[in-house]
Amino acid sequence: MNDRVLIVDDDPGMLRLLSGVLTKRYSIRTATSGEDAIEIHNKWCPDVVLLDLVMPGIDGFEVCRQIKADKKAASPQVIIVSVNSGAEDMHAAFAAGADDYFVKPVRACELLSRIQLHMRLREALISPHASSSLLSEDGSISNAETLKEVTATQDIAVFAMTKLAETRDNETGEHLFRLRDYSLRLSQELQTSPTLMSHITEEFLRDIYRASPLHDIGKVGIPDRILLNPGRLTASEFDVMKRHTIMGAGILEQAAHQSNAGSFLQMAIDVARWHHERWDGSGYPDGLSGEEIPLPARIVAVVDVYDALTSERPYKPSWESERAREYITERAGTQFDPEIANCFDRCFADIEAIQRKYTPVDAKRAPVVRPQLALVAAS
Amino acid sequence: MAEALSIDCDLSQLLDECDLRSLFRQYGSEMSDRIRLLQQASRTSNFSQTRRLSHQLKGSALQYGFKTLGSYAGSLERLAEQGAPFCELNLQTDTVINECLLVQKYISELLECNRS
Repeated sequence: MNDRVLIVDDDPGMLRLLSGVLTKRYSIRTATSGEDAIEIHNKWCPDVVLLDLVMPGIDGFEVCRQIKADKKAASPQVIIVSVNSGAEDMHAAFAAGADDYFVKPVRACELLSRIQLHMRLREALISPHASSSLLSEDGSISNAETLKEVTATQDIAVFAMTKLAETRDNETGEHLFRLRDYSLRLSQELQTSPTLMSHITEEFLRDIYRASPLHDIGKVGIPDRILLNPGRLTASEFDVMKRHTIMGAGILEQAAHQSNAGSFLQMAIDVARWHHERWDGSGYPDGLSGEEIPLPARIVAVVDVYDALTSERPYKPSWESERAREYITERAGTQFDPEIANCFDRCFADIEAIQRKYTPVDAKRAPVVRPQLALVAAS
Repeated sequence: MAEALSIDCDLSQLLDECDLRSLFRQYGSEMSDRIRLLQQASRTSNFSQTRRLSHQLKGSALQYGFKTLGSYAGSLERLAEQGAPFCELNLQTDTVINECLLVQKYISELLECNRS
């Protein structure tokens, strides 16, 4: 039990319950105040911190900020466990550097899975950092073995981060596979475009394959009542939902800061922030237009919309692929980069093939059920 | 009335019966302290303390499966946040305390009943 978890909560009942669940799996320390939490963090260097927000003295937001600002050691993954479910608190927690957010009551199994994912993510983020001594003076990686090792750890990081977003969303895992393959195929097609071909290097193709599944990572910061709402969102709910772009970029910037992961994380940051921008400037979050929008984000914008249209949602059936293709081509030059929409049209047969490959025969997915079991019979 | 003790199904997979019983026994036994502190804070219109204690109680009650208590405590937290008048604050405090007593009694009877 080398992995360390620090649990911070001013309620003794909560501390006992969380400790009870985790104690057989991890090395545990507990703190009942923000001041104690910072002291234990400084001396004990936990891998994961479960952090309450409302506490006497220094609150959870400030604890999070101080822990994340500590440059002496690679900072732990901070998981907020709070009864506050408002978007403002979530947003503030992520802005303070939190990596994840749970609303009480937490489901113990889900908490355990997420802690495991965060352990893997932290390990992956630290590993390239630790191997930075193997970099040559100009920052390039000095041998093939090291490159392989660094790439492998980055892939673990991508996997872990993607899983974090996926566990909160109703999207199936296939969505991420489809999006990754669509992005790669469309980028390959751009190699035939006179205006864009010079941007599409082998490194670009490798990076977009790994970065595109992270486009919605910011959804970890959207409250369940909005993220899992089966109906259409109200205007104010949609405003909250839009924040997933900024939050996603923030999470990835922090990951980039902690690791030596290189170009693909920078691409992932661009994609997460700007994949909802539109060519004519009417998108969000920044209203960028035309080539102000980074190329990888313009690519993912096309395939993400195509995948959304051809997937069933609680409020709409899936569209036929031809209808979705028309939707994309009709919006070339308004919503989408016209050259990318054109390339999408040219490689459409391959896009359809990818769609078939990753669409299960029984495409309908059972709704997420959170069963409750009476532990002891009611009197 | 305290509702049936219903918690995360997975908690019973992660903790053995003995640990679960011990958790609930301790939760029930510390209820008297929570009641005392809450009463003290509320009777002296100490809003920040009332808010903190009710917030704590809301979180733990929901986590232990006592939704009604969690909801009552949440209402008290809001009143304390707003700096509600003395009468209103104390009326809600009494509601919370009554529910705390019911939860305490419920846990005690349940554990006793399971032992026999």
